[in-house]
Amino acid sequence: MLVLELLTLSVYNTKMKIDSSNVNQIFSALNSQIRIHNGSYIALVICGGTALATLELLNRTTKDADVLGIVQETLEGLKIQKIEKFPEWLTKAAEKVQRDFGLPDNWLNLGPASQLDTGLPPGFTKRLIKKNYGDYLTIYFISRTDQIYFKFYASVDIDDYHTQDLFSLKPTGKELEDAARWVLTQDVSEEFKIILKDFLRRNGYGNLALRI
Amino acid sequence: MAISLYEFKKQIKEYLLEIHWKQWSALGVASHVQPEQYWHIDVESLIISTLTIGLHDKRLFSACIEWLIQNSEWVNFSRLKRIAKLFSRPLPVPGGYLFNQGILSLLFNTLKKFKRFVIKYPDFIVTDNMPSEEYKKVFEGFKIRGIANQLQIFEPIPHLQLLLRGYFGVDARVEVFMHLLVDRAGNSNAIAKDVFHNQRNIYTILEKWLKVQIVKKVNAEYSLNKKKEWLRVLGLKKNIPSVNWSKTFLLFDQLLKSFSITELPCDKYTLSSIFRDFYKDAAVIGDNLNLQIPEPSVYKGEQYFEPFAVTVLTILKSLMRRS
Repeated sequence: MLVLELLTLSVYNTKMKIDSSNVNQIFSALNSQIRIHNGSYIALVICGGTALATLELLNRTTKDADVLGIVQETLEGLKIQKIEKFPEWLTKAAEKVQRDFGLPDNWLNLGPASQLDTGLPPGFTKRLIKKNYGDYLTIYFISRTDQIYFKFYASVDIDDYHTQDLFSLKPTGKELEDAARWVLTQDVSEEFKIILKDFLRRNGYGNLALRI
Repeated sequence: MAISLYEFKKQIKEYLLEIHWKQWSALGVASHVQPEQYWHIDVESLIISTLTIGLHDKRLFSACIEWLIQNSEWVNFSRLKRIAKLFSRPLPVPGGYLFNQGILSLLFNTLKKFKRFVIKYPDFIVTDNMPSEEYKKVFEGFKIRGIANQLQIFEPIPHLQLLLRGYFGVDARVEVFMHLLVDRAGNSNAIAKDVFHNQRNIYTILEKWLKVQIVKKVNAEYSLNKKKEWLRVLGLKKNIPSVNWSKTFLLFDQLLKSFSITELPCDKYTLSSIFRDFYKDAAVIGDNLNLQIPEPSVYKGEQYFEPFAVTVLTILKSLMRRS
């Protein structure tokens, strides 16, 4: 009996993953916690698995929400600003949500923020998909097109879940070509181009490898 | 059992106020509520808790002040100050502190105004955490309405603390003796923390009692000798049910005050999150009453609202018992 109880507890105590069934609850909770922690309105750009799950582009789970930067909503349009760290109230709010949902530590992180230094795909901000979670939080999820760009970039030299994600998004030849051309702007070395072409060939896109 | 947010907030307030009324009623305050008969009353905890949540029921608040004017010689003001310090903690949500120590200043000024307050009250720390204008108005508008009578001590359990104050005087020996009689063995530090007295003072009392064999000491833990005889002398036929009223009121006052903050989002998730903040305190109180507080990690997000809310109301109901 005790063993069963311990097993049950250990199952419940495993860290919760973010997926399409809970992502909206989690961000609504973050909105409430920002309010509780005397925070201000904030708009975040989120990429990675959380964006895939929210937009139901892929049916998979993720352990964290990757924040690219914060969005300034101006009359001229959206501007994405890089931040080195979250405001204290957002960190505290995220910690409460982490506890309340049993999420992994650092579930809200600025992992991909350095991408803003090397540049975003053309038309990126226009393709962002806005979701409002209350008076304190708006999330801009990156689009399917930009997922293809980013997943392609992440897949070139490591064959892991990014590669699976990339091809699960079923990119067209044109989309892959556009993504490849953008990826080459991120690393202009000849070595990288060779690796990229090899990646395309290995995945059945030899013709595309010849074109770029 | 499903419970709505509205019902929970309404019931916790009603039950908590009723517990206060039952205890004040047992202390001689005129009320339609049946006086407490089952649990012992901790006067200082009751006063601080009433001052903390009393703005929800101004009649209760006035009754507390009036009772103090009539019966202040039965109150341990040094202990009152210690309990007030415990209550002067920031809430886990924006909206300030649970209890403002400045309220004690307003209370003492009011007691002095009615010239019945001859005991020198202790100094207290003046912080930026000052009472609200509403508190000031209530104290300024206070009038004696004749609802608090002179204390009559006749019920062994509810009046145990006062009965012992009759024997020992208004000092720390009363709470130490009650702790050993009601609760269990403990070292001087643990007992001091539980009863809100100075540890050195508690140690001195216990060592004196050890010399005259009122207590025995095993592995630094003191326990009462001849407990059955003491119970009989005090007119008690059975063990006294144990509840630490300071910690109990602290938990429920924090819950009530947190829910009453208007700036706070009012949804099941927010309340669930607050519940998680109070889990450890609630678990201790639940243990005393053989009620298990649901483990928060088992429930995600707002799922924790219902199990915690239902258990907390069960605790309050068990504290309201009438026999």
